[in-house]
Amino acid sequence: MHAPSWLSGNPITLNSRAWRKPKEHPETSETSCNLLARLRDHAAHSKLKPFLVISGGGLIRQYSYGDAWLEARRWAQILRQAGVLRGDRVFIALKHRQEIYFCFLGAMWLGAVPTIIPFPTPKQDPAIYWAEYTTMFAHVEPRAFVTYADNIAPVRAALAGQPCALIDVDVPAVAYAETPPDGDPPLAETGDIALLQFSSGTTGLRKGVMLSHRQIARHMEAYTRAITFEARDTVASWLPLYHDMGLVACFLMPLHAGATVISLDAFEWVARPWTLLEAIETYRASVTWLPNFAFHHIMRTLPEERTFKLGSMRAFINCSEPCKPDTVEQFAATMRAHGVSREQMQVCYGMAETVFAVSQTPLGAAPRILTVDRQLLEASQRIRRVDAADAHGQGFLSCGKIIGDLEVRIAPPDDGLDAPHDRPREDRAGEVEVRGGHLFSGYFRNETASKAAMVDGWYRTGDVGFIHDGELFICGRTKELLIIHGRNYYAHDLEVIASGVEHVKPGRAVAFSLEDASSGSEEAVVLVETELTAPGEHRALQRAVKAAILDRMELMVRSVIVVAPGSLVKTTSGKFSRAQNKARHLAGQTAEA
Amino acid sequence: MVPKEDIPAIVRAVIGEMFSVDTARIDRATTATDIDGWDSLAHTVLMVRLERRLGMPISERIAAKASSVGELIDLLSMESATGG
Repeated sequence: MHAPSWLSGNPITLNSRAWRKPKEHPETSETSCNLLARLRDHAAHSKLKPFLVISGGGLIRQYSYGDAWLEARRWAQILRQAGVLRGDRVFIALKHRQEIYFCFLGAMWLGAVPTIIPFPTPKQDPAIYWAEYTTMFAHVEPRAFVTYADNIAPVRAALAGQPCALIDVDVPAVAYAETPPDGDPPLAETGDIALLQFSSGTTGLRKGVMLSHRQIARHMEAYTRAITFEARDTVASWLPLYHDMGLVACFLMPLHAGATVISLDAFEWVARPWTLLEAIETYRASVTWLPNFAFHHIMRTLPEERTFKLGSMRAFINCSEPCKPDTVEQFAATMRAHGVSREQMQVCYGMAETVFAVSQTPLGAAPRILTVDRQLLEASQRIRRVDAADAHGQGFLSCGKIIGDLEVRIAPPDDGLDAPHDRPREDRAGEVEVRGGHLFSGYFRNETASKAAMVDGWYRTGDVGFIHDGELFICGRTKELLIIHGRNYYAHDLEVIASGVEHVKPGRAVAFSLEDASSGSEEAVVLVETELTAPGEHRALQRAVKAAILDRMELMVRSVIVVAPGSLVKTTSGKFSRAQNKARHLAGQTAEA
Repeated sequence: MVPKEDIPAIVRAVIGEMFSVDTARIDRATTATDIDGWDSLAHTVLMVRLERRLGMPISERIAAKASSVGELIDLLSMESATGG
């Protein structure tokens, strides 16, 4: 038997099992847990209702629930022809186009495990970009990889001979493959792993968060209840689907509820941020999820001469990077003339390991801002309210109440003030730990990381927070993590890349983040030691370090600071101290070479 | 719309203000990687500020195409000469 002609490279043998008539799929009450069953029901009952309105490149396309069902079935067929079976991993690396949605659903339909990964930007070299994935591909062993022509050769190289079908989405046989008239394959089972979400990172193994259909359904039930999200809702989003907030809140949850998604291209949004406001106005959208920086980006580029009608919005939900009280106040004030009120400003706290949301502020009321004594918090992790105008006060935005049957506890700081196994009192800050309902099943084929993430059945989030009046507040983090424009980066990864650049003394680089009030996000700073002394050489080195990090991490570092050998501060154990080097940098004591 | 001959000075001034950089450090060869904080988001904000200061719309083609300050000035000057 020959592989279909559109399979590009490393074709695998078609497996006859894939074509066999499916075994009977019992219609248990749990089928409602399956997203495809939800799609099937919406397609049956609301066939013409829009599921997806996708704009990009000057075109707008609309897909009803009936269309989505047929497209998902078509993709299930395409993937099945490529040999994809239940449990197989399917990678999707596509620019903003409707096939991301339908290929993802098609894979899920087969009980396969789809994962959406970012594609190289125009500034990144595809060969370098995909070479970073070699270890991950060997570990995850994808059965099919859906992408576009530019990526085929470098992905094939990174797959290093693994039997994986490379599917070019633009090849006519794929693009125009027909929907099979009959014989729907069986829907995945509720306990099956539904999808993988991968953490960022280069030097370590990327961790793939495993989520089952049942966990996703539990999350959807809890989160839709928390924000009274229903079929009548319309979500406006520019978030890419490789981001958990884009994937879950702006694709899978609307699908679960039978709502509508207005989907914009992230790159077009960055260049024209007001297009989100246009979309809200045009489609009378009701909810959007945005990282903190996005509120600032919209405000900083707001067209002076236009007024947008945003009164249809129930919630602008701030999530996925530290949410700032000033952002909420400024956005509500700036956008008042466009119909935005403080009551529409909302906050969510979430992560891929809990599918998405952990807590959410109640809609209809402005989120609470708590001003606490900053010195007491820093010295003893204790929370004491002070007046908003207090010189030592720091305002924190509530992340709301814990949703569904998740449980959250604050790990006692290791200072003997709380008994080790007691829950600390309210108003004591510590690491946020989560268990229950829709917590993930572990990291894919990574028992070490899965075990390390848990303590006594609780997942250690790496975030530091406190509970006050039953609401969760996040005030820091324990992980050496930089959260920039809603994406996570490990300081260690930046340091390894920087110290690999020619003329940087090997191993002598330190990365940390600084808050930038104007952009509403963190910015990365990298200090590197070098023997070079001429200013022109320093400039070239700064460029080279920025370019290396951009190529491999898709991150534009704010500053690369060149320092003389021996300038970076080490801890007593001989490691470079990020905290101490950051403190010296902030104090203006970094000895620039 | 400002006179074409004023464009280079205005472009350098707006970049200097936005990124807190001495305009003497900004020349035609300067690129985004030479200026701390000039990432894709900041680039959009910069284009909006330039539009307002120059009194002319800046097309996405120009915003995306310019790879150095000199190139940006040349493209804006051409756009200005053709009336946008």
